Amino acid sequence: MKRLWGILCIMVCCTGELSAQKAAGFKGWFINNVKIANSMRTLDLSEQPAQLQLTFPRYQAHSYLVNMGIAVILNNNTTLNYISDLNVEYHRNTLTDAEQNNFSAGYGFKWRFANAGAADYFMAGDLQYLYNELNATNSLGGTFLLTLFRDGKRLNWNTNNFRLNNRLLFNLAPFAGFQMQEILKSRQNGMAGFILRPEFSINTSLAFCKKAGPPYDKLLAIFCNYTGRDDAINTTSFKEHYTQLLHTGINYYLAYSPFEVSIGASFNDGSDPLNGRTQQQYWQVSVNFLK
Amino acid sequence: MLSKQELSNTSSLSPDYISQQVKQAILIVYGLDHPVPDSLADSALMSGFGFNDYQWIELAFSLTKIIRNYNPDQSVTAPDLENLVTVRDCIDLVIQKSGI
Repeated sequence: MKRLWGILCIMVCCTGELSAQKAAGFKGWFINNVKIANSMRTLDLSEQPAQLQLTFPRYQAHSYLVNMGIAVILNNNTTLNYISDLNVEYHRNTLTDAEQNNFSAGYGFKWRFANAGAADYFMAGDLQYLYNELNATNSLGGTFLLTLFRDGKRLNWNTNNFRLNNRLLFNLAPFAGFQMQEILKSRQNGMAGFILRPEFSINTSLAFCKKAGPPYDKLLAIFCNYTGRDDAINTTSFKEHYTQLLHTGINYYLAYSPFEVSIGASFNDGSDPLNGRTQQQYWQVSVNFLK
Repeated sequence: MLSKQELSNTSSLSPDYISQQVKQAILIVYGLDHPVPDSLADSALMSGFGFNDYQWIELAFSLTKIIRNYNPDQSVTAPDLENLVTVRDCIDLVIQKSGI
């Protein structure tokens, strides 16, 4: 537990260190440049809320869930087609049979590299150092995915689609690319090696909104995110084959500013090898905060 | 969307006209296919739109397009985005960079 609080403190301190350079107009800077969410991973672009959950009474030595990432957006004077950030995140789950205990830190980016009239094309990626406490595995990881953006049309990508006099909105965000992982060192024999995983993801959400706006505050949202991947190249002794991760659920919104607060229920099924999440399936009810 | 009638009634050099263009750009990036600039308050918080990184980049491009109608050498850069707390801030940024 002490280590958990230590990691959370490091995450907050890293953010504070960078933010100290921006004392002037701190509120505006914080609102626009610091993101706190479930994960800063390239694939998690629907920005699920950060989660911290404890259970009482405790039947085990540890019984808690932490899913949190903090990112500080880096600025660049020369271009406006590139946004990058430094991020740290921590995922620990002792509430299910398959425990997860993973820390990562790295660099993420979104790059608008082409415009083809009907849509703009982006590459989203990240480079990470990852540590999996469960088998003391140190890795370097990288994810590179392509996606498209389209707005102002009847069917938009990576932005909102409004229907029913703007009372209903839905999002579609497709991604395709690959993920690389170099496992440098592990307590487990045969774990070290290189893995290349082609992967794709489809993120969707459907929300009912308040009448007042724009912007339109969400009342209730249903979401479904699916990721599939396969270890096309794997020099470790542990073949993964096709792995998938499904995260679907519903959120009811309670507050919108300065943090978005919602209460929700979700169903999670699958694995995420890069983040040390082994195959598991569980339901979760939680109060969520998204900044 | 600004109609032809509205366009002919408004001087393209007036801050009011730029204000309408900026609001229209924000609403299009937000996803509205028939944006009504007057429906967006100057005081609305940009955080209320919940823009992701793709939307911020697209907004920067859209605002730059407006600015370059008046001042071809200027553009919106990433550091400019950090000061955009309200819709009014976006309008002021475009007016300032347009040199009007």
